[in-house]
Amino acid sequence: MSGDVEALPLPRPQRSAPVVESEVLAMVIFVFTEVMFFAGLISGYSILKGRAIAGIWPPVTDPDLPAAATAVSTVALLLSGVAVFLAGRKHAVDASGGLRWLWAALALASGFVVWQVVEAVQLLSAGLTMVSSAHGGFFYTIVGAHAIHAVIAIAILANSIRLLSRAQMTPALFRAIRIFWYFVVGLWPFLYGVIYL
Amino acid sequence: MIGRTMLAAAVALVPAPVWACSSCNDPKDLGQDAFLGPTIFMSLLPLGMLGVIGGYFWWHAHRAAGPGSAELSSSPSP
Repeated sequence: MSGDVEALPLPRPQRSAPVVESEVLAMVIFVFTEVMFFAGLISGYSILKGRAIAGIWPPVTDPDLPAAATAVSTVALLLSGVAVFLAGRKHAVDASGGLRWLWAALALASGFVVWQVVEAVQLLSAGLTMVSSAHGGFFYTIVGAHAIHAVIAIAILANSIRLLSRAQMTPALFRAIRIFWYFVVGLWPFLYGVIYL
Repeated sequence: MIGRTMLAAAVALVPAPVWACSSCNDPKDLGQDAFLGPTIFMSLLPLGMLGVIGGYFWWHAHRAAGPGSAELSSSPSP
C-alpha cells in the first residue's frame, strides 16, 4: 500500500538572499584595508611636507616632478575607469557584453603604467632616488605602491577579458573586480594632488 | 568639603597637553601643526568609510526588502 503513495519532495529550507555577494564583501573589506594603507603613507608625506624648512617644498635640491605630463596620464587612467563602468553596464544586459570597453580600459591603464615607468627612469637619471631625500623616498614608495596596484589590476582585467570572452564571468565576480578597479582609478587623482601639486 | 574634593578630583582629571614621545616631539616646535591634519584625517577616515559601507549595505538591504521585491518573491514560480 505504501508503494502506491507518491513520495512528496521535502520542502527545502528557505535561505534569505544575502545583502551583498561574498565576492563583493571580500573586495570591500580588502579595499578598506588598502585605503588605510595609502592613508598612512599620505599622512606621513603630509607631515613631512608640513614641516618643510621655511615652507619650501619640494626641496630645492630635488628635480621638479613632471606634473603636466602626469596629468595627461591621469586623464587616461580616469578614462579607463569610465570604460570599466561602461563594460559593467554592457555586461548587465549581455553576459558576454562589454568586451570592447574592457580592451579600451586595458590599453588606457597600460599607457598610464608605461608613463609611470618612463617618469621614474627620468627622475632617477635626474638624481631623485629613494635615498637622495625624504621627498624621494616618499615619492617612490607612494607612487610605486600605486603602480604595483595598477599592474595587478591590469592583470586582473586581462583575466576578466578572458573570462568574459568565454562567457564565464559571473556578475558578482565582475562587480568585485570593478570595485578594485575603481579603487585604483579613484585613488590616483588624490595621490596626484598631494604629491605633484 | 566634599564639594572641594570633587572639584579637585575633576581638575585632576582634566587632560593636560602631553606628548606621547617627549624625545621626538618638542612642544615648542612650530611645525607641530603639521601633525594636526593627518591625525584628524587618520582618525575620521575609517569611521567615515565604515559609515559609508554600512549605510550602503543598509540601503541595499532595505531596497531588497521593499514592496517591489516582496511582490516579486510572492509571485508563483513557473
